Amino acid sequence: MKFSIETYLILGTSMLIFFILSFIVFVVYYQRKQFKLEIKQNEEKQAIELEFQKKLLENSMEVQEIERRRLAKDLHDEVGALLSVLKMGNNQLVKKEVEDESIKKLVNNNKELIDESIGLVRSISKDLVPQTLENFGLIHAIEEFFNKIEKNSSIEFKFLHKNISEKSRFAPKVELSVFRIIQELSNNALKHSEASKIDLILNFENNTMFLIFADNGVGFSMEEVLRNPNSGLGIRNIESRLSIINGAIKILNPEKGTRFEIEISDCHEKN
Amino acid sequence: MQLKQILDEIIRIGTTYPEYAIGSLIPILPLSIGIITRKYATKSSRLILYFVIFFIVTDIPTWITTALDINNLLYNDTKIYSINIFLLSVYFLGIKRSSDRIVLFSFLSIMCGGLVFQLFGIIEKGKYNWINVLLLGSIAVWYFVRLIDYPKIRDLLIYPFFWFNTGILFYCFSTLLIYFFFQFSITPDIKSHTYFLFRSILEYLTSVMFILFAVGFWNLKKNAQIKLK
Repeated sequence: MKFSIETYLILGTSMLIFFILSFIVFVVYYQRKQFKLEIKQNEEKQAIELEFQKKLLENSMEVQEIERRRLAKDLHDEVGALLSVLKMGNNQLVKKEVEDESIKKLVNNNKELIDESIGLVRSISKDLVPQTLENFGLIHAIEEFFNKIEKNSSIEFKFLHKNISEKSRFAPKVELSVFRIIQELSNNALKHSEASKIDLILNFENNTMFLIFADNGVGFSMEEVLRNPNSGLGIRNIESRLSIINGAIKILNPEKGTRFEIEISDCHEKN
Repeated sequence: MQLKQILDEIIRIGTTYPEYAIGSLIPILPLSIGIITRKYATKSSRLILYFVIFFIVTDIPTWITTALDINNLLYNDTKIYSINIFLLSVYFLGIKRSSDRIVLFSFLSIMCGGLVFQLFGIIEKGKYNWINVLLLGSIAVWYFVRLIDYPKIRDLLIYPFFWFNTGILFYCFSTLLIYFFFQFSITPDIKSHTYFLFRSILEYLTSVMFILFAVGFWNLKKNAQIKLK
């Protein structure tokens, strides 16, 4: 069987076209595969970087807590002890019969100052290390904290907790972070919000902790806060703490005041 | 021959051999789309658009000389040479590496040298066109090889130069055998059945290249929008 040149040409050209198309399909397939691989590698890299940053942040928070603990201990053991010795000495002076009225007045005045200093040292060291939180849990610590600031301010605090009993305990990292966040939000509200009422709702459902902190103050613009490098440290601090415990914050500006909604996932109650 | 007679003859040829008409009219499609999407055009796509214009313009004398029954083989072969040189020049825009540029430049020199030799009758008309398409095709293949290692492109199918390169690659390798066999059987007798068959296939294959160019121009806007995102 003899083939003409036309047949050879058509057959050859068809084969070439087939090869070209196969090559192009291969190029598209291979490039897509490479692109997906690149995306996957980038995602893995980002996840590692994120994990590293999280660990770094966690360590820095831990160091901060250790430092607070050390400071509280030093204040209590060193300064507190010195003040106690001073108080004892002053008490002996009080007991002695002194005729000079001005010296008597000075000694009594010193006694008041020493008592005030002892109280202050206790209060500061208690603030630095929330003993109630460690010993009795989140609900007790929040209640104690709110009672304390309510006494010293004109703001009315309302605390509501759902599905969390007073005996409920969580991981120390979670408890401490939540407590510090509440402290930060309360301090911010006291300093800037001009609010007369603060509501805190704490809820726990399906291993997720929900926290709503709302005030009826003047509110604030998050954009403005972030634009100013000297402000917003508190919010950034909250975000950092939340990133360590799988939490997220939403800041809402209702008609009046500010509302913070915090969600902490993967949060397990300890028995 | 009057202008009307020339036009009538062109219409007669176009209706008798519709593949020639298709081959000449198809470039209007990428031209139209290229004009519509011109504001998104990059340097290389603009050059492809100029190539389409060049193709359309250089096709007009072919029709006129055919209508006047003038032997236009030398013109046609020169046109094919110019087309290949033009398409090869497009790659100069996308290539920055000096070693690659040297390869490209040497290929271009071979093509230009071939064109000059053909014009001066040193080499036979159309005898080495297959070398030109082979050189151009190898550049198109090489470009794809480079593209594989460039994973920044999210989707190749909306990358305009992918379609331009596909068109060039398709044109080069699908016409390779035709140009190769031209030298043995067709050139001496332009009115033979084989010549017309080969030319018809060539016209269809060139049309495919222009359709692929049209797809490339169509994707210019999409690609620009993705870049903006």
